[in-house]
Amino acid sequence: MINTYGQPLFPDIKYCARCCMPETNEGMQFDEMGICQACQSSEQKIRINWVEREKELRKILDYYKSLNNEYDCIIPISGGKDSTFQLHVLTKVYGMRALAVTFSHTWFTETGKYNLQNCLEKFDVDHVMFSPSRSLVNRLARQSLFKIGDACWHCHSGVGAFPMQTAVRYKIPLLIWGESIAEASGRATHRNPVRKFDRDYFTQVSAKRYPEEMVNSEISLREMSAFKLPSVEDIEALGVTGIHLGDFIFWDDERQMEFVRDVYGWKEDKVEGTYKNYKSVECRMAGVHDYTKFLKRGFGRGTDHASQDVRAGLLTREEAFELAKKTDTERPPALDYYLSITGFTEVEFNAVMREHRAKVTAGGGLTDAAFNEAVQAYRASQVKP
Amino acid sequence: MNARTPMDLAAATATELLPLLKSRAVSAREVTQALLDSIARNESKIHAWTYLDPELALRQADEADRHLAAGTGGKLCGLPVGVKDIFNTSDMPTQMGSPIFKDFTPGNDARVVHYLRMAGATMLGKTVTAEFAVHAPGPTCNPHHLSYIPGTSSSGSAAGVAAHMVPVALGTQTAGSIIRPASYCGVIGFKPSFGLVPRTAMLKTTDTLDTVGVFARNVDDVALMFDTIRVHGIDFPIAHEVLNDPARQQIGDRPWRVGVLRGPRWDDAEPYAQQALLDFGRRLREVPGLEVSDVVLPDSFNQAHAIHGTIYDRALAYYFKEEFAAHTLVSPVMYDIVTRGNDVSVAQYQEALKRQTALAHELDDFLNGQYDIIVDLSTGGEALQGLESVDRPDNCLIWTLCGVPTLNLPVFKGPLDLPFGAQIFSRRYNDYLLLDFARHLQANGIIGANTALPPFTA
Repeated sequence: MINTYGQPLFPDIKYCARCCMPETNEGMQFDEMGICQACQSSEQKIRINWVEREKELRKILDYYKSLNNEYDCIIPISGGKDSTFQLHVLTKVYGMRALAVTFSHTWFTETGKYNLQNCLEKFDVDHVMFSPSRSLVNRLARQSLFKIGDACWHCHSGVGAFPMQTAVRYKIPLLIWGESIAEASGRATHRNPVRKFDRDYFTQVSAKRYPEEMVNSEISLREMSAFKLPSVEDIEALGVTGIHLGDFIFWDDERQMEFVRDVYGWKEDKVEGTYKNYKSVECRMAGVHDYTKFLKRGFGRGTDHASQDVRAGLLTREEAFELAKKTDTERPPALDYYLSITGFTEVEFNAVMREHRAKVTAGGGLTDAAFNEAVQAYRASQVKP
Repeated sequence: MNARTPMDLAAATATELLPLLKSRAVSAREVTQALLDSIARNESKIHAWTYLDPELALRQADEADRHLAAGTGGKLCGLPVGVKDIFNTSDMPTQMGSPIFKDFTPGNDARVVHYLRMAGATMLGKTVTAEFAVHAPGPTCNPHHLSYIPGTSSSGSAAGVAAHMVPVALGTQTAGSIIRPASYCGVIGFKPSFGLVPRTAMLKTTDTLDTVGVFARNVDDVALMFDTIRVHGIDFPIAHEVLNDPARQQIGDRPWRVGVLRGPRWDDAEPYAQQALLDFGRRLREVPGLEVSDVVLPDSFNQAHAIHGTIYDRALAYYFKEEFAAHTLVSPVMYDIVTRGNDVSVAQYQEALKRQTALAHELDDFLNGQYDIIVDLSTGGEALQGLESVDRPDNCLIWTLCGVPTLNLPVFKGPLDLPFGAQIFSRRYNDYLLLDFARHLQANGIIGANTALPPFTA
């Protein structure tokens, strides 16, 4: 038996030389040492004068406070660790009068419901929440698999569009999100950040499809109102601006999670698809989302977290690969729920994902055959040499 | 601890101070002031601190006193800690021993500093580091003899703890930067297993080697600090499993299996140091509950220094390319390392990383089931004269390369009456077992309950 302990799952694709992120990650770029942008960012952070960046942030916040609107800013929240930390920073540290806005994915876990309500109580903010209808979510979850290869288009799209709609409706021009794109995505670095947060940002980064593209014989255009972005004219007239706190303050999401857990009673829980107990804890579909990423790109949430732990000096790279392999490859129990609400059989589900994999990895080393062979070999292999 | 003069407070260990603070027999302000007084007496000679703001320290102490009065303080409430100047601190500059970062204020706390603050500790000040925690030494002198080296790169932390300026301090080790200064300064230095203490918001030099650790004058203080700065819970499944595994962390009823090592750098050690270790081995044979034997490592460990050098040089060249571009502000020694590192190909670097992993497994296999503890020289003798002196070659970096926990025991003195130590190490992740062994030695009089040598009085 070949000993593959500590080796990546797919030998024919390129991984970051330092962490576990593969070339199949969207927007992946490696430098001359074969090191990914997220790893580069983690080194740049130590050389950034965050005092100066915080001054920039304070200037922005002071400006919007000076407008004397009913609310100084919108904070899109899910009740997750990042949004709870955002509320702490913006309300407790900077004294912003914030309107909390939640687009409900409608798949809240009990822990997620608790965390959302807990942070609303602890930070004493006004809150607007929109929940699309159950049947619409079910239909979109099916269409989402065809269109973008995961279950969650309605969430990707809604968390971008609904806060913008609310901004226009309530005339609150500042939206504040959490972590920087440079933090973990590998799509930017702190030295080469994505700071411009325009109207189409969420669609381009995560939703991938505009609402009109989701319409089919079972989904009408008039049902898509929650997912539509405000017009360019409305956005420009109000001067809507979006910023990420992580571009202005040093972001350490795990430390921040421990802080909101210990200080504000934020709760962790088991999350499918990873060994960490906090990311997307609010959503019962997180495991399906991450499993589809694995089927499509050859890595899931376990790889994301293991890579972060490598950067933080908390795992060797080989330990990280082992943890990632275990969690990424597991079929999540929530898949049963997803199949039940969408009407897919598992065979159909896997067939759709095979097509997405073929598109993502066209010309690369993650062919369907290579994928199946690697997964079977892993499942048959011994773990420790 | 009965007498509570400022000198006593400055000389006290953390585990002596904390009950006094909790019972409010002394205030955090009194403790902090006693240490500031000690620093005022000795700093002009020792130069352990690169940043010190007494008013800031006292403000933190007052805050601790408010928590102590309200009964809301954490487990380290009011305890002053020295912070090596490569950890970010929100209220102090982080200068990393380099003029490039003079007065640089990062505006945030390293995760370990955050953990310490959450536990109520007071960040007394920033301690001197070698330039970028590498080799070019800072101004720190050995507290036992001012013209002798204190060891790099956590020199300020080791000297500060030795000279009763602070009871405990943070350090880091990439080769031997905790064990060597601990050895030369006569204090306990602990480098935990790689993977247990987070490195966020601190300078990284070599990704697969850098490890955060602590200096103290007492094994219990080390354990207390380690418990505070390490990760906890099921979000860290490997650490959680191994650190809670009795089979790894407890010896049970059987004797300790102890090996006394003549490592790859044995011939570089001074004859008196070699003799000291052999004599120490004989002393250990008389300690109840120990089975002591001599150890020679497999030949493959003779390659450890070359592997470490390839990784270290290439990583420094990579991580410090921006600073290297401003080379007029980089020391000659750093310049040489980066130049050397630039000559290492990516393929050579990758191969060295593979060999690091293989060697770590080989050491684990070698220790597993055979030895609970290995005893080695920390340094090949006492400190060398001249602050620019380079350390003798020793085995420290092998244990860093393999990620195992290692602890300096201040048990020897050289011909000049300067301290040097024995280091003990164990399998990776057997950190509590290692600390238990040190306690066993303490219980049997091999090391003292407060191991510091007399405070600096010159």
